[in-house]
Amino acid sequence: MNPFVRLWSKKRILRKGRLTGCMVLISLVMAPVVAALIFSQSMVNSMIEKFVRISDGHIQISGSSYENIPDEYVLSIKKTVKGYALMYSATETASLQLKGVSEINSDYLKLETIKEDQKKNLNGVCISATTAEQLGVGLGDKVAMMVVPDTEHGVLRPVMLQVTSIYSTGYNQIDKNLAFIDYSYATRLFESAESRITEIILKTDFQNNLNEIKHIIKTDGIITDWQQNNISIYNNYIVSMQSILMVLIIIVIVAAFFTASVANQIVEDDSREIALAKLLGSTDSNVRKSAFLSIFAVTLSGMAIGLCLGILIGMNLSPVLVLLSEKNILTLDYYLVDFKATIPWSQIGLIMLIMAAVSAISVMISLRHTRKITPMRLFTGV
Amino acid sequence: MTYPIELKNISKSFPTADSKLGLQILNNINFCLNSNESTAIIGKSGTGKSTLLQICGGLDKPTEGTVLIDGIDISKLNDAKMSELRNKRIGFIFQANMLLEDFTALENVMVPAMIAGKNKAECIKNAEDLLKQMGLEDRMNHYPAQLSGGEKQRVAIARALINNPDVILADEPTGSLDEENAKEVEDRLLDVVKSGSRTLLLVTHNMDFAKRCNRILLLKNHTLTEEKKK
Repeated sequence: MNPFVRLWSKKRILRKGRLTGCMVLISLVMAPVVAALIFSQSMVNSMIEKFVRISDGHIQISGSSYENIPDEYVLSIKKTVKGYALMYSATETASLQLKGVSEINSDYLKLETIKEDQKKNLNGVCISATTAEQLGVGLGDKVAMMVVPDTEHGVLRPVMLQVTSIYSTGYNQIDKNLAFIDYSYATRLFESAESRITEIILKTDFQNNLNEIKHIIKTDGIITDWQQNNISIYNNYIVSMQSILMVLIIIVIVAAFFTASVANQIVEDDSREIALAKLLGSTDSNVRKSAFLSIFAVTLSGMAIGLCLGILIGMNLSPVLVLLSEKNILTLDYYLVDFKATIPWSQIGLIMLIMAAVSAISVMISLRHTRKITPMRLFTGV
Repeated sequence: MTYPIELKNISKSFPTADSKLGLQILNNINFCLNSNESTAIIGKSGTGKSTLLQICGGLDKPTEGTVLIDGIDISKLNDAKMSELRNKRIGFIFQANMLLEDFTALENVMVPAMIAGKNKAECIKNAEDLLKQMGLEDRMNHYPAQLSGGEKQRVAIARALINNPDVILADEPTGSLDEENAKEVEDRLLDVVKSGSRTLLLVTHNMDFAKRCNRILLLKNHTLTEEKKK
């Protein structure tokens, strides 16, 4: 690089004022963008995690025989029984999926349970607040249920149950039709091999390796994953993330164009110096290179500062969210639990790349104005 | 035979709102600048002396005519070649010293050498030597705002000499200086021309300075005539 280009760029960067302002502004745009990316990605991850834990696990094996489940990928394996039933209150009916489980994991849902002394000599059922509202029943009430047979020779069986728990997940897709019953009771209601579902929860690092893990597992039954079973929900998450990313990209592009206006202003402010450099023999290309270098160095510095600030904010959002959830804001209360901040490096990289590229192109276009500045500007002012 | 600078049939007029022909400043000027000579152009204010100097340096374009520098028609040079010519063959000095305010005296002198692509160490050494010759060894790291008018002008002279140009074009180099400083700048300028076998083209109102040059040209009524030295 020409030594003059290096010296000129350095002088422009060290000059206080507009370029410093540009760097501060870029970092102020970049920091919330990065923080927003961390927040949205972490929130979506948390929501997916919660959905998967409450509904069916990452991988489901239908049937009772399986082998080769790779332990190193697996966090937990849960045996369940699934079937369908119609539930009746005195006035209303609800069509439900019944899930027989050994215990209900209350870490991922809100659960209200009746006291021991309120229990009647009936099998218990845990229904959602949505279903309870639909049926007009509450904790301790009795409901009738007609189990849909799961074998050819099965018969419709009416049973009486007591609502021993009411849960709420926040997911309408789950709440509107899922009810939990005791696992051993469920095995008596549903007898087919297909009703026996083994749910596998994977460790965090392997949750994106669903297909690979599914291929390792050997079973005579059917093996599926949560994305297949909940294709609309999965697609919603993907679309949500893409929409958020798109909005952030647009913000970043607007900010990048700002650097072009700074470049314009710098060319105008430094027109005397540019004319003088040309008088002393600098080519237009060298003038543009040095202006580009100084503006781009400032842009990159602003981006780097913004990135660090954004990561700092993003990684420390949890306490803020906990504080918000403690305020009992209904809409936030559900979403703000179990927030684990993760840095979406690929998306941050994409945003940085777009900002750098748009800045570079727009600044290069702006700097074409230096062509109009001739040494004569020193004498004529134009 | 080639001259450091040769003007052939140079005319210059500026467009005006009320005349199609424009305002005529220079009319059919012809002259050659001899090597190793100092030449002063004198004339009243507004007669076009500075415009003529700017045309000689390739800063401004004539309306008509040809400017040859070392026999090369500069109108045929592209931006890169013209910049190289200004950088290596011509040293400029102006009444307003035109230093870069963010650069120290040393850096200001280094700039043309850096533009020429010389390495930094060489640029620093040459710039230091020149500033010492100008008596500014204690002012090398001062910014223009910290220098007096005479010191700034000596920095400008050092800058004009850093690439060892054949021709120095000076437009009223002592115009804004007091008598004492003006005399010192005159001495330095004429010294470097004599000692370095350089050619000086000077525009000045100062007749004493003009008389110290080898030739005096008078710009009057848009044309240039040679004055005989008394």
